[in-house]
Formats: sequence, structure tokens, C-alpha cells
Amino acid sequence: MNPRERILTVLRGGVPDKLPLVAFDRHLLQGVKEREARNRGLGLLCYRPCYTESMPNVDVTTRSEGNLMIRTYKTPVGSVTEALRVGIGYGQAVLGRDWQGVIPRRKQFLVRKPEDYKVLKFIVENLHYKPYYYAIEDQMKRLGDDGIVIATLPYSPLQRMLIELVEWTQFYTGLVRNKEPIEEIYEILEKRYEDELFPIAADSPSEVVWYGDNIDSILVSPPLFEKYYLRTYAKCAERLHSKGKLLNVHMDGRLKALAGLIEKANVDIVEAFTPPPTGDLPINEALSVWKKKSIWINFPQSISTLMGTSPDKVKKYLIDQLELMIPGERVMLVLSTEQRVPDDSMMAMVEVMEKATLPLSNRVIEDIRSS
Amino acid sequence: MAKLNILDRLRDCIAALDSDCVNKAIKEALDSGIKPAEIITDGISKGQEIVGEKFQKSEYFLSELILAGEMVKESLQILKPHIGQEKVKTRGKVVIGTVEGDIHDIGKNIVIMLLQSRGFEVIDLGVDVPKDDFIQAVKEHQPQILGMSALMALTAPVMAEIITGLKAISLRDKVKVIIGGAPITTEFGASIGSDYQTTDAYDGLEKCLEWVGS
Repeated sequence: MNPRERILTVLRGGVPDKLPLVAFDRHLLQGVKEREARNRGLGLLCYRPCYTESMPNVDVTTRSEGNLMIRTYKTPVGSVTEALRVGIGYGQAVLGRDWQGVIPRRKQFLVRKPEDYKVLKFIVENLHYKPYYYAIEDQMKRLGDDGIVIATLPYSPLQRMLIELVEWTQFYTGLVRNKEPIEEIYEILEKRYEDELFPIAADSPSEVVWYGDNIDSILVSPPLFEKYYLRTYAKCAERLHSKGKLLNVHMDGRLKALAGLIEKANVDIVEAFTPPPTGDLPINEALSVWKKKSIWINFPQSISTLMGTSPDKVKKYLIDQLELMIPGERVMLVLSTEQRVPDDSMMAMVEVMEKATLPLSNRVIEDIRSS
Repeated sequence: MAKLNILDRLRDCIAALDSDCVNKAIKEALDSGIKPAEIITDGISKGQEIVGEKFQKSEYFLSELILAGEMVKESLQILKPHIGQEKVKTRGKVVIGTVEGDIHDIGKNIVIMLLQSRGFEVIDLGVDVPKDDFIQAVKEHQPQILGMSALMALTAPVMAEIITGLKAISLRDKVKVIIGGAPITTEFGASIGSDYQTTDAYDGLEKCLEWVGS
């Protein structure tokens, strides 16, 4: 099987020849080892937009100050400003990332005081979406059978407020003390997505549509997840499923406290599931709770990248994880969802995964361990 | 008895996140002649402690923890004019920050709130803190504990450079070093010479309490 066949077989509930090993294309720098890894079965997940976003009636101006990108949104009801710290090489690579594939980090949010909500409300009321499929179509042609192309969405409504729009003290205290503007903006944003964005995503050429939500139970508590996320995932999935697409949500944090609710969520793929020591839910427990979901496992960077790592440590960790996945259904392994991993660690994963034939059994694991 | 009742009520108001009740209890405490230091240690801090415990037991979540932190800030503003020269006893001093190249602050801020709830004086250096600023802060504030946070595997190795910098000016033995963040492992901590490493804020708090003998 080629990488694309492996990935799609997993997504359709089947059993491929081997457990797929994949990498986010934006975090995989080209080179000798990368070519060797791909020749030995490493597949690619390519993330591309399926829409353009506009906000007529809002005047947006951007200026730079050192490594800060400062953007002001001027509306008839007032102005708000955000500041983002950009990394080296920002703007010289694709998709608004620096040379390491890292997006700009937010230093200042649009909403920092209660009065800013009215400006944000005006902005979200003026958001509009149009289809843009060229990036996906173009990458699909280039990629061939080396992987799949995934259509991206913005953060889901409440997560967008939390990660991109509202300063976090304001956001969290607001959820207890001043819920009205947060809920009002959430409703407007969700309706806008429902009316304009979800149909665009459902009609995109990709098989998989992605919410990059970075779900973590500390930031998104079970009551929050239940109230604001289940509903929006359900609406999105319903639309996508009607056109045969799958909903993929990036959940790279500590998920133990959310495990039961995630099972209830109408989400097809739990992406970037990160096992201990970074996450708090072991893969065998996740597989037993999420019985119908595909789990894309993020190899923890604390093992693959951080000081003190070695190919032997990477192999040992990976083999131990494989043992927890027996018989290896519904899963695939992602090299990293953050920055690139060292070549030695990548090749250690390739070496193990090319022997991870399915169904996984103690015997397969033993053969890998002794090879 | 009356004093105890008022301070217990203040503690319970903080734990219940009722800011009107908190303001009322503080006013009553001041009117009854209770010293601000006592109001802080026996009322506000005890309430914060309960909030921290509820957070640990998943009875409260981040919203409640942050709200309690905001209520404490507001309470201290009310008490400020009354504090004067009076010394508020602290458990110890902690210098903390997120290392250079990393601007994630939620984990660090949770730790700060928990530390403050247990009476630590915290000097928050913020995020994306240059390594020299950590070293300078240890030199200047002479804390018992230095806390460093990183969410990205790429930025965590800076912690090793800070520890090396402290050694170079003979300060390493004078401060306990605790590191935290999602990519941090015991192995990593040992390799860079930290005293403790954790991915859990409450676990970090308990270690700090142990270090200062509480």
C-alpha cells in the first residue's frame, strides 16, 4: 500500500498493511533523511485553506515594530489592536509561518477590557466567507499518493475567542462575571460558520476537514467543552457528513478529564492525541473510550526532541506505545505536530514503523523489539 | 470569637467566589479593628487555599481560579491604604518566568496564583524572558526558589543555559530551581541540573512548600 491508501483505509475503518506514519508537511524540512524517510513509507498530511475570510466595513491596518506585527481594526463603534510576535523568516515561507513552521505568537489580544467586546461584536457580525479551493486542488495534484490534503477551518467559535481574540483573564473571569458579551459573540460566530463556512468546507475537494482547536482540559474545562464545543462540532460534522467528509479536531493537550465528552462529540478524528509523559491519557485507555474514532497520535516532543534524546530511547518509547495499541486499528502515528524533530529521531521512528505490520500482535511487537 | 467569625466568613466568601460578600467582610473586619496582615493571612489566603484545592480536585476550573485571583487583587487594593508600615509575613520568595522564545503564560500564571494562595511572594518576570534577566533577578531579589516555564520543546533547552549562568556567578547553590511545562520530563530536568520538574501546577506548589519547610 502507498501512504495515501494506508491513511484512507484507517479513516474508512479498515486495516491497512502497516500502521501509517505521517508528518505535517509544514514541519518536515526537505533533505536527504526526509527523502529516505518518505521512500520508506513516511506519508504527508498537507493542510490547505478552503475559504477566504473578509470583513467589509472594518478598516484593518498593519504595521511592524521590531519583531512585533501590530494590527488595528477600526470600526464605526471603535477600534481594537492586536500584536503578534513573529519568528525569524516570517513572511518568507508559506502559510504565515516562520522558517521552523511556527505561527506568530500573540502578545496582545483584541479584547482587553469589557468595552472592547462591542468592537469585536461588530467585527464578527461583518465576517464573510467565500470558497477558495485552488490551494487544495493544486496540492492534491502534486502530492499524488504520498499522503492526503486536509481542508482547514479557523478555530471553532469559543476556541477562537479564547486563543485569538480575548485576553485570557478577561475571557475566563468573563465566563463567570460577564458572560453575556462572550455568549453573544459566540452565537454570532457560530451562526456565521454554520451559514457560510461549513457549506464551503463540505464542498471542498478534501476528504478531511480540520479544526485546529488545540483542546486541553485545563484551558477548556469539561463544563465548557460540553456547553460550547459539542454543539459546534455537531453542527459542523452534520454538514460534512452529508457530503461524505470527516471532521478532524486537533486535541493535543491533557484529555483525561474530557475523555467521556470527547466520545460523545461528533468528531471523526482525534488529531494530535499526545500520550504521556506530555499528555495524561494513555493510548490504550483512549482507544477503549473512543470506540468509533480514528486517533492520530502525536509522538511527544519531550521524547523525540528534547535534550537527552537518542534513537534507542525513541524506539523503546514507540515500541511500548505500539504494545498499548494492539491490534493497531483506528490509529496512525504523526512524527510531530510542533516543530521539526531531529533526523536521528525521525529515522528511529521510520525503522520501527516500517515493521509495524497489522494486525499488531505481541509477536509483531517482539519481532520489532528484537530486530 | 467575633474576629474569627469575620475571617472565617471572608475565607468562605473567597472560596464561594462571591465578590460582594468579600468586600463586605473586609469592611467589617477593618471596622472591627482587625489588622490587615491578619485579614490577608487568616481570611483571604485561606479562602484562596480552598480555591486551589477545589481546582486540584476538578471541582473548580481555570475560570474560577482566575476569578479568585482577581478577587484577591481587588481585596488587596481595598486593604492597601490600611496596611501602612505593617509587614505581611510571607512563606518565601519565588522568581518565575517563561523562558526566551516562548510567550505561553497560562501555565506559569496558574502556578503563580497557587503560590500566592499559600503565602509566597512572587516576582513574575513575564514571558519571553531573556536568560540574563532570570540571572539578574536571582541576584537582585535573592529568592529561595527560581521557577522557569516552557511550553515548546524548542525553547526548553534555554533553561540549561540559565542554570549554567547561575553556576558561573556562584548563585546556583543559593536557590532551588523548579522547571515546568508540557514537554518537561524528569530525564530532561536531571540532564540540565534542576532540583525539580513537573507538568502539574499543584505538584509544583507542594514541592515549593516542602522546600520552605511548610
